[in-house]
Amino acid sequence: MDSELRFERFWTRAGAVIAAALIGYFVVSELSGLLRLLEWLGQGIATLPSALSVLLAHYASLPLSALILPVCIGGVVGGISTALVAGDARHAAAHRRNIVIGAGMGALSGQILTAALRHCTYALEAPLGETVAGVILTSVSALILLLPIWTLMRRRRSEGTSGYFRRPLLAYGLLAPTLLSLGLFLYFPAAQMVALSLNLRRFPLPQERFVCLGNYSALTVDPIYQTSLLTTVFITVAVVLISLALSLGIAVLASQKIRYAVVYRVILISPFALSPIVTGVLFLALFREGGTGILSFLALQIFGSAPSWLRDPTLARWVIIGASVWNILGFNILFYIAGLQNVPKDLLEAAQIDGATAIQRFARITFPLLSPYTFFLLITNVTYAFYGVYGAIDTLTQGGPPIGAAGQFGGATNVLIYKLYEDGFSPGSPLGLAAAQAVVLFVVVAGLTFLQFQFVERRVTYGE
Amino acid sequence: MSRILRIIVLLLTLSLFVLPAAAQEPVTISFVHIFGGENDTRGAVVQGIADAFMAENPNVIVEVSSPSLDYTELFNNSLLAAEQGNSPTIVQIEEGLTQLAADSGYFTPIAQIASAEQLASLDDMLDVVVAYYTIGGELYSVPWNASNPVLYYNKDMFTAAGLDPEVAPQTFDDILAACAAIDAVKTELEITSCMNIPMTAWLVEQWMAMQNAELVNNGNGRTERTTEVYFESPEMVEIAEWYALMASSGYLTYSGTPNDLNAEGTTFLGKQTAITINSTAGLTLIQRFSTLQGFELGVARMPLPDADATNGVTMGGASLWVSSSATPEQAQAASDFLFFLTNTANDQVWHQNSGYFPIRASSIDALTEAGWFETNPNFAIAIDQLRESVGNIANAGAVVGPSTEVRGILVEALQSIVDSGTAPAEALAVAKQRADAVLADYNAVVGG
Repeated sequence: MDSELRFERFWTRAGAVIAAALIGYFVVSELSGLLRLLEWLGQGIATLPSALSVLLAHYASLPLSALILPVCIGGVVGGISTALVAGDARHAAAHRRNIVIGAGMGALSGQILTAALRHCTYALEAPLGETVAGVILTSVSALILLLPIWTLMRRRRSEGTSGYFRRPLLAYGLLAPTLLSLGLFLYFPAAQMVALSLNLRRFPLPQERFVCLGNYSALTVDPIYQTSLLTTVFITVAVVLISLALSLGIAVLASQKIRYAVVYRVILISPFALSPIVTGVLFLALFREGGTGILSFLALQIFGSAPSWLRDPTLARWVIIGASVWNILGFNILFYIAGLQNVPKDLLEAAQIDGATAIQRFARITFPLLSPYTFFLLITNVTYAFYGVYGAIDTLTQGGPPIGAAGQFGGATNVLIYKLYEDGFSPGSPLGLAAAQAVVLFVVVAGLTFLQFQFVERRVTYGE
Repeated sequence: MSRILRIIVLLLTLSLFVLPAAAQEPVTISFVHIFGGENDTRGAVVQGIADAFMAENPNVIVEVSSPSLDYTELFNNSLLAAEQGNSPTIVQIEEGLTQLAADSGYFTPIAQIASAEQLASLDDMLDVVVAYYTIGGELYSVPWNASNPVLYYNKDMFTAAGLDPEVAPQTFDDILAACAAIDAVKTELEITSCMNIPMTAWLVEQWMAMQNAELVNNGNGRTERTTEVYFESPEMVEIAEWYALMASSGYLTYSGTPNDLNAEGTTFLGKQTAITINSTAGLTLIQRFSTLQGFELGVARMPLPDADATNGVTMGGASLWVSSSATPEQAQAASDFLFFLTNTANDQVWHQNSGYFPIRASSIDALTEAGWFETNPNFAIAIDQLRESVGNIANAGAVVGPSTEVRGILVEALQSIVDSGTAPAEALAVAKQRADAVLADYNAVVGG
């Protein structure tokens, strides 16, 4: 007992020393970087007073209508939503108080996005579309501060403190590193990107011009962007359906009790180890035109002519879909094989005894039991099809081939993420427009994921 | 445990103070270029020249590095660093990004830094080379690695098609005629098409310059920022119609990926075509592989749109820019280094080891005297073609701020002509409309 205690104490100390040494090493080796970070933070804090005075000057110069309208909208949205969500019908007084707090906070919170937009959508000369968008944004903005407040209201109502941290300071202290890094590296850049999307800017020019929602309205009338959106939908649907169906089929086959099954599985999963760029290069070796692509060469030898894999809009899309499906297939197979191993054998045997055919057993037992895997893969595959196809497109088609004369209707494989990257990272390109695209893309993917959780997850069986 | 922690904290606090203060005496300048690939011997040549410079100037330290192997990436990284006030002292920038670099304000024109003696030495440089980097009469950067497109052809296939292998096609019409002969024996030669070219705006820019035609208004963007592209000019229509005719006759192919010079080189070396156009920067490589592939290589000047389109080619390649955040001492050292890097002796070393042109008349003369061009006649072709460019507005080349976008639109016009048979006039009209919109948007940002 005594030796055990000593042992434990020794390792506790050793752990502390090792941790301290690692932290110390990090601090010393990254000292210049850390100092720069501190300096940068200091500079950021130092600019706060001037930012505040700019904000105050902005409010002072606002016409009355632009000030009152968003405040009213925020207040109304805040009051109504609080009544619906956090209302307390049993205590009339508390109910009224909650609604007043909700309306007040809504009016305040509505100013967050509205002030970021510099109230430009409430200007008299703003186009109707932007005014409507501004009202929606103010309403959404009203909910930002309300969400945590509703939690507080509910908490006050539910008596007792069980489940709550007794010492909030300690809790926030423990959360601080995570919150700091999230704030610095995720939320702050995201906020900067939203701010950028309201400006005309071309990297690396220092000039910046505020255009309100101009970049967004430019996107809505841009035929190239519309094609890009449709192309993305088409490629995403194709990639997700084909890759899920194919990988399930292959996983079922690879799970059969055959000799060297492990070897086959490794071979089947291996494409996932390649990055999308490498996949693109491999497919380029197959599909390159002019006679040097392997498939083009074979087609020429056998049929005397080769299809325009990369120069025909329809074929080019399918080459991209093929490359993407091939790349993600291994990942899907991996999960399906794992899932298939978890399907209880006794259920299948019982069904077999009851006379169910192989197809019935698969459709009625295996497939429903795999639904959590399918759901997970659906979300990851949709995300991959939106973001991960970039590498294959960049190496194979660079967004082409153009549709219409001189590409006036965009490119056949110019999906949202590729267009966004091109607009954001080629020298001299419209950075504000790219930021607006990034915001739209984020909203689309977040919305899709939300919808999937709302409507698809209900059909998922997680077992008992 | 708390004692241990206390000691560690103490040690950490102490370590803050014992960091050596930066030594101030020598001037350190940093130089970033793209030749740092693992098997890229050009990086070692640059380092060798930098070492020689430091030996002559012991008070200057030149830190040569190659953080990226790609012009666009190097440009983006350097300018993002510049935004943070951290720019490298000297940055290698591709010719197409000249206007953008000038507009960014993160670089000081070399004309404002260099000494009178250094500036006078520019008279020795080839006219078109200096002209490319001169905007509004001011030289912005020091020209360095220069290249050009030339025509490559397969002499064996010319013989098989009954053509004289020593007579290279010199004009668009010559190419059509040669292709007609080659196309007749296409099956025997086992080729996909007569000719392949990289789908890039670069070639079109050359052909515009040869016809003494400007690509954009305001003196090719050199008197004032350009506001309009001349994509519908008769000279451009002539070029586009040649593309259309080549494609509809089945004489022309490309890899399917735009701007892929490597892929086009592979197609030609894989004996899939008889003629191609590629950069002189690939000359050494193409010579070596044609021997391996067992065919006789012909190299000729870039073909002319017309026999009388002899205004000469424009420059391709990159130049070296000095950061405006450099201290006066650093800027001076940078200027000294750049003129050392491009002096007559180093210009020869650079040419012989990189395949890029010598850019000084004096180094070409020295190389000629040493008999270099007799043993390397193909280099002479490329240099003669550049040397005969007299240096006027057209062959100085166009400078365009959003050149990546404008060139991209031009490539899409060519693709739609070649791949989907769009009428050249229609494709060029749309391309002009799109490019002009981009220019207007760019100018609104710069002006506003």
